[in-house]
Amino acid sequence: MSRHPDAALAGYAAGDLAAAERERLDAHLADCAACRDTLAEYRTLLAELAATAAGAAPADTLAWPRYRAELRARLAARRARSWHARWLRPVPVAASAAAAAALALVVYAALPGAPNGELAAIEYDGLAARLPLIHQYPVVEQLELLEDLDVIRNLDRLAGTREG
Amino acid sequence: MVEPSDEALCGRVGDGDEAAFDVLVERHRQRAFRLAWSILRDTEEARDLSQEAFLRLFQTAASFRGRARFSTWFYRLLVNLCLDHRRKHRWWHQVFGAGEREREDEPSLLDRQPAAVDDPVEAIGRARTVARVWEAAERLSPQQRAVLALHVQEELSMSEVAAVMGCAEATARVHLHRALAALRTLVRKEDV
Repeated sequence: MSRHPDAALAGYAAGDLAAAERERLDAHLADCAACRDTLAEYRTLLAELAATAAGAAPADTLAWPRYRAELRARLAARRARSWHARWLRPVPVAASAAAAAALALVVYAALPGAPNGELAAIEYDGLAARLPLIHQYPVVEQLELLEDLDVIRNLDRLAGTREG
Repeated sequence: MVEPSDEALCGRVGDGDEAAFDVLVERHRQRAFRLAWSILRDTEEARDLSQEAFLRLFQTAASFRGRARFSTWFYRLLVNLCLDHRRKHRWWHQVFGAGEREREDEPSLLDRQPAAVDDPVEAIGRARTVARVWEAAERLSPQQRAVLALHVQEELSMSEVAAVMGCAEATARVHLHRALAALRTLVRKEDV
């Protein structure tokens, strides 16, 4: 701890010490010339600063109507930004996700062999009509699952070829 | 007619009353600018951040509970903004130099001192001394400048300074002591 109560001296110079603390400091000052000098200098500095504080900082020279207009514009921009943040910021995310999903669906549907609802049903009906051809089982069992619908579709011809 | 108190106006601002906001701004804008300038030492930054403090006031007025005085609450907001700004832009000031960027159309600190009334020669000498002290204050830390400005310019007691700074009164006194000690050293150096 410092031998000199520096912070208390600043408080004393500022006129802001409680009575008990002031008494303790007075007792110290009676025996400490260095602290008396410091206190005197602090008081002089504060007095000089206080006497001229009004001129120390420039005034804001912006006329009130312009200042008010500037502040209003900033407030409006802030409100618009917070409205945007609250309501619109989630929209681009959701819209992007929806657009990506739609694009993926379109691309997938356009791929050859992609299962299209209606087409798949027609294929299924066609295959069902040819179920009796399943007696060509040795050929079918060599096919990978869904590997080649064309082969299955033309099993009758295959059968004819074999038979022929 | 009795003027509404700052606290009453702030309550109305909390309800979205823009007319009450205008009155508060007009009442406090010069003090807010002066305080911001004392910490930042830059006219443009002081205007920008004092306006920012008013915008925050508008946005958060509803949270003002009236436990503290309006001025303590508002100046705490402003001082925090200025100190945060200075912390974030410290590198800039270190590289390009701290302190006010003097503008040609702006009167110097010496010019801003009150005109001499009694003995012109003595008054000029005194104004020079004081201008030198204030210029030395530019070399203090932003916290030290804030404490000095609040106590000396805004005439707040040290307990009020502590409330604005959001610290204990003992800490505010330490800031004041360091500011005064640094000023004393700077002024002594210039006297040599």
